[in-house]
Amino acid sequence: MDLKILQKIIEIFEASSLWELEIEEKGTRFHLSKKRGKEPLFPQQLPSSPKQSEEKKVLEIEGEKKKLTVVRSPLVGTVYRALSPEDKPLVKARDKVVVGQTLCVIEAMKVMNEITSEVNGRIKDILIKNGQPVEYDQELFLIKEH
Amino acid sequence: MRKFGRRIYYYPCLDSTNLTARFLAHQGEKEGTVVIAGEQTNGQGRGGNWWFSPPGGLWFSLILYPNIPISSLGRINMAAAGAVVFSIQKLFPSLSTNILWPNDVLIEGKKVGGVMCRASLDGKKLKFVILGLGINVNIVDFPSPLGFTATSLSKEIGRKIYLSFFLAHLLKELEQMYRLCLFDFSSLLEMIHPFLYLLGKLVKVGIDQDGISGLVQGLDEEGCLILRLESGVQRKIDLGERSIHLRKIGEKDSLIESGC
Repeated sequence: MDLKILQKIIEIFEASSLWELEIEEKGTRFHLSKKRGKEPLFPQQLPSSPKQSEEKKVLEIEGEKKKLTVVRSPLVGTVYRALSPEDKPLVKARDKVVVGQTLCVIEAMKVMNEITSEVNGRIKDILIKNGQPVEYDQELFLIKEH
Repeated sequence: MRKFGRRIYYYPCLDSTNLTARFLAHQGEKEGTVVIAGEQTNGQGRGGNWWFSPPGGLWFSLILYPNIPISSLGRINMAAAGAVVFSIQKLFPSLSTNILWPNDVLIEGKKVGGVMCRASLDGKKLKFVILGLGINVNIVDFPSPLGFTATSLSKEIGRKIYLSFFLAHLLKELEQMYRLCLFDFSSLLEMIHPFLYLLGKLVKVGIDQDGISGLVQGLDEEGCLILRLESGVQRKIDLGERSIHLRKIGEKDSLIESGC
């Protein structure tokens, strides 16, 4: 990674409310962390160019994602959000979910695979549509853990 | 030692044997436990379709804990469909029985039974599989339009059959085929290959105009359908890729998709 870009990422990280950040690019991994209880070094707003604020936004989204549980597809198939075409979706955005609750069904080789929640929390985002083909490891839901 | 049917829960009427079996599996019920209903008020077919399941049929679900990859669970469908075919063959050798790949059973081209697997996953870990089977054993009347596409064993042989007698044979076959499915799937494929209804037939696979046509050549080592396209190229059909309709070409392109 270009050192200038890395320097910028460090500056943005220090100014952000994030405590940890991990970046991997082309086999090289950078792990940034702050000591707990210590205020960020640059709490004030950084003078930012449009490019900088874009980078910051991406980092914030990544940071937020880290606090969320991502439910991924364990196989290739077709995803169904309801048990039948007439039924209501199994879960909607902002619904509370508990461990073991069925979130969606993925059909593969005429086997209906029920994808269940591994955490207690609330559905933050639904990243798939009913009837959509999904790939292995594709993100399906974001759950904000309780 | 045989496991299938060592414990059987019988209910005169259930919503769906799959749902009851699923509940029992969550409580830790052992592998091979069977849930049977005299009739189902909300029998489930593929994609949540309703499965016609009045008194007179054999409607049951088996609890399984297979030690195979999630991507190979489709094998269980084929094993179960094969077990139904072999049971019918042994008990009623005069009937011409086939598998409509991968999970339906036909007699003279009409549906006599179907299989549906439901797997419960915890992340990438398999918790259990509920194998649901529906066999039209002693059903006399089918509502329209099922009457054109479905049949029953009693209609075909002209007499009633004891459900418990057929179930005992079927559970034995199911257990044998399930073992092959886990430990020797290539032998299982060899056994069911001659019974594939679509073998040597020209079919269209796909939705709308995007479908592809080809001659069914058989199954590959994972149980996927192999088509030979007009260009001579062989194409593997994996139902996981997308929603697929199989159409036999000719005879008004009759829809032969499996499911209720």
